[in-house]
Formats: sequence, structure tokens, C-alpha cells
Amino acid sequence: MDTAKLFGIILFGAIIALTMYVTYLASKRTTGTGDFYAAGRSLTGFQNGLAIAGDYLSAASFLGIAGLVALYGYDGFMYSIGWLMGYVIVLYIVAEPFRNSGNFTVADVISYRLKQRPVRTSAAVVTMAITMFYMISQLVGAGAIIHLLVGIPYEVSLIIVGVLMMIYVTLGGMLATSWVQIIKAVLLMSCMLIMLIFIAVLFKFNLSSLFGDVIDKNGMEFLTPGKLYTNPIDLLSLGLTLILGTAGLSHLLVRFFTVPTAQAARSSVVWGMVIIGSFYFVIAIIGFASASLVGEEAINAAGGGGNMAAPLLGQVLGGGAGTIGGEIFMAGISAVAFATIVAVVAGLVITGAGVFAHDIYTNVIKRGEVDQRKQFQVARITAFVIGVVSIILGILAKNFNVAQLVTYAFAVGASSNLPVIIFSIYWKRFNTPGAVAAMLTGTITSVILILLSPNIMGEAAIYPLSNPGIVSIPLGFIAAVVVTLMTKPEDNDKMYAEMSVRSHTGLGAE
Amino acid sequence: MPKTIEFEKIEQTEEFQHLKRRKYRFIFTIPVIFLLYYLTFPILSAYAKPLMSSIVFGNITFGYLFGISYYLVIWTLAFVYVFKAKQYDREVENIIAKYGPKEKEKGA
Repeated sequence: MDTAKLFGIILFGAIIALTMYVTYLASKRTTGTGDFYAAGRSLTGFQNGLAIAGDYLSAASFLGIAGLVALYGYDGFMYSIGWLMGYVIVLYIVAEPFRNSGNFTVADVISYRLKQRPVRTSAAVVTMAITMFYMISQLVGAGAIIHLLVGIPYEVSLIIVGVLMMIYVTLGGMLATSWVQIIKAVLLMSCMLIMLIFIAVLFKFNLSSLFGDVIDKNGMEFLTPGKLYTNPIDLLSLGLTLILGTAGLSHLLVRFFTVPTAQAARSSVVWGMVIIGSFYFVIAIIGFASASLVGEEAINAAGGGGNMAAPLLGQVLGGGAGTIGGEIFMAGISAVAFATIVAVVAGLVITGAGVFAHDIYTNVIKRGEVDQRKQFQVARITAFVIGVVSIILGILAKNFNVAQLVTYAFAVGASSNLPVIIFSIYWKRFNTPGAVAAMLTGTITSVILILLSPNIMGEAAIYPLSNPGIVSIPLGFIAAVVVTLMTKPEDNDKMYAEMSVRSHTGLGAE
Repeated sequence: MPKTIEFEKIEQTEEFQHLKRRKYRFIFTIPVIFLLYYLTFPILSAYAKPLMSSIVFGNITFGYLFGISYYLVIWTLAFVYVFKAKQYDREVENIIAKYGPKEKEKGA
């Protein structure tokens, strides 16, 4: 037991030391806003692909989905599929023109040929809504998971995560954030690969015998639909939200500004899809293996809604509870989960800082007349403030049910960011009122439906589904089209031509 | 930003309009078809339980294979896109060579 604790602490320390060293190196290279927001556009496609995976694969995916599969079998597996599917839209429709037409934030793209102040202000509201839903879910999950794994109190673990991410972001900017995400992606994928090898050897490289064992222990109905989801419309709503929401996540989209060209943005999505897809494929196998080797009873006994399924499986694979191998394996998984949380949270903080400093302060309040040094200072201060605020929010939201929070971020992204991004790039007639209407309609209806849903109101829920997407996504798109057609065309053919040529050819892209 | 790029002129060229038409047809059709294909998964799981629970071989169910098919399809689509996008890249290069800024002032 003591050996394992010691090993866990050494591993935590090593991860912190490595990421701090990277931050130190990055801080020396981060001298202007371009470095701070966009890592000086210095990442390669492959590096950014790893960072996309590091940004996207949260502790909720690693521990949460493994737990859902381990407890609910087929339905958990079905849930795991949706997370990669949105990347078709990211790759085909969004990534390249988005890279070519923006500088630092989502609002750069949306406001390119529209009126700066109203569009930037509403885009900032949208990004803050997405970032906050995502952030709270990450932090509350982080506190709970670290508490379960290492035994440090909830509040203390939140403060540790919060202080670390503030150091990464304020000192090292996007470059440090990207490398923290890259390191995390490598650690996470290595950890999964090791688990997969252990599972494969145990079941003699035969997937069918793994499922045979699952059926023996949990019965055939474990592999049939219906253990978790009873309302097909709810599932449809969730599916729609995941596939359309990925391309609307602000913190993911800004990753495309860290590469120099549209071609690099393209290859980074492809690498991201390979890594993220492998992750979800393997995490389902880890979940099934946990259902067979650990068992429902032991997973539930460890608490946390199935979150301990993967760490407990590690313990069994390493030799079982009390053995050195088992405890070391489990400590390793805990350390990786910790790195995972820190990397995702750092990405969220820098996105939020970009919105405040670049969109609101520089472009809306100061109308673009701020020198680089001042802007850079404001960006660092906002990153620090966002860090402090989210730690406080995370502590306040301690007892909140966070299982659904991440999907809310996807819902806001799909119903407000996505229509506006697509129309501003591809639809010439699209105008400022249409953009503002879509962003506000999408965000407000998502939030209202969430408040009226069973997750908040329980039995008395007015909106019957746990996911707002099936209503709010069409509304966001309809608002964009209807309001645009009802109002005067934008008088900016020149800017449209510029954006169109720039987004498709990269001419003039920064 | 280099002053030498004549955006409006390029936008109006036959080559650029042709590229846009071809590109739009491809980049919107595939995701829409994929979206419909993806949404059949929750629908089949809800309304075709016997099919999804049927064993295909060994202990592997149809539902599991159907789920795994999405990974294979999406990766295939990624490589199809890269292949197509390289064609568009070549067309873009021709447009830039013909109408673009003279002293290769393309931004970083």
C-alpha cells in the first residue's frame, strides 16, 4: 500500500514537473498576443491533432464512459459512439475556412463581414456559456475524481488543479496549453494501450471470448439495448447534439489558429479523428472488461456513478487489491486522469481569456485601438480572473449533478455557434441581425430548456427530455434564416468577396 | 495584409466560382448523408432490439458491429476528404498563380 502511494505521488510530481518545465520554455517564447492566443501559429498538423485529442478527451470520457459501459453494457457503448461523429462536420465544413478567416477567436470569423460590436458581443456570450458549462463539469468532476482516487479533499484538489492551470495559461499562453494537452494525450493513450494489451493477453486476443465472459457474468440482456435509455427521442436529441455540437465548441475551434495553414488544420483534424476514435473504441473494451473482471457490485461499492470502473480494472489487471502491481497500476491511472483534467481546463481558460481580452476589451470597448503590450497584459489578467472564478464556481457546484453538463455545452455550441459559423462562411445574404438572433435564440432556448428539464426540475419537469438539442438546434438555424431574410441585406459585397476568397484559398490569411 | 490581393476580381473569376460550386456540393452532401446514417443507430437501438441483440458470430452482436462500423466509415470519410481536398488545393494553386499577388506575398 505504501509503495503504491509513494509511486502515485512520484508520478503526480513527475507530471507536474514536466508540464511546468514546458510552461517555462513556452513563457520565454510568448512575447505577444499572437503567441499568447495562437502559440505563434507554430504547431504542426500532427502536434495540433494530439492537442485536439488532449483538449477533447476529458476525465468524463476516460472515467465516465468506461463506467457507463461497465454498468449499462450496450447502452453505455452506444453513448460512447457519438463523441467522434461530429468530426465529420468539423473536417468537411468548418476547419479549413475557419482557419483561413480568423485570427484568435470564434468571433473573428463570425464578425469578419458583419458589424463588429453586436456580433462580437453576442459571440462572447455564446463562448462564455459553452466554456462555463464545460468548465464546471470538468472541475466538479475533477474534484470528485481526485478525491476518490487519491483521497485529498474536494476543495483542495480543485485549488491544486486551478492553480496549476492558471500557471500554465498566464505564463505560457497557448503554447504551454497546447504542450500540456499534447503530453496529456500521449500519457492517456499510452495508459489505454497498456490496459488494452493486458486485456488482450487475458482473453487470448479474442474479442468474442471477452463478450462471452461478459454474458456469463451479466446475462445476455447486458448486450442488448434498453438498460439506460428508455426514451428514444431523448437519445435522438443527444445524438443530434453530439454530432452538430462538436463543430460549435469554441475551445476546440480556436485550436485551428495554432497551425500555420489550412492544410495543417486539415491534417490536424484527421490526426485528431484517428486518436479520438481509437480512444473511444478502446474505452468501450475497457468498460466491457471491467464489467467482466471487476463486476457491477464492486464498481458501485467504490461510488462515483461508475467512475471507478477503469481504475479498479487497472487494479485487477495489475494483480488485484493489495498487491504492489495492482496498486501501482491504479496509481498510474489516477495520475493520468489528473493530467487529463488539468489539460482540458487549461484549454477552456485560455479560450475564455481570448474572448474577454480580444473580443470584448480590445474590439468592443476600445474599438481595436489597443497596443499589443496592453492587450497581452489584459489577456493574462483575464486568464487569472477566469481561473479564480471557476475555482469558486466549482466549489459552489460541488453537489451538482454534472453528468449532463458537458452535453449542455455541446447543445449551446450546436444551436448558436454552428449556424452562425456556417452561414457567415457560406451564405452571402447572411447579415448582422440574423447572426445576433441565431446566437441569442440558440443560447437562450438551450438554457431555458435545460432549466425546465427533468435534470433540474425532477418530476415536475415541463420539458420532458434531458437534452435540449432536438428543439434548440432547429430554432437556432431557423432564427438565423428568418431574421436574415426579414431584415436588410448587409451592404458589404467587398468584404464578402474578401472573406470568400480568403477562406477558400488562404490568400491574406494571417 | 498585402495590398496586392484583388479579392473581388478573384471572387468573380470563372475558376473560383467553379471551385466553389464543386467544393460545396461535396462538403455538404457527405455530412448530411452521414448524419442520417448516424441517427439510424439510436432509432434501430430503440425500435429494432431483436436485430441489434442478434448474434452475428461467436458472442459478437449485430448492435456492436453496427456501432463499430461508424469508426470505419468515419475514418474512411476522413481519407476521402483528404484526397478530394488535395484536388482543391491544386485548383487553388492555379487560381493564385493566375490572379494572386505578384511577389508571392501570401501571409504566414
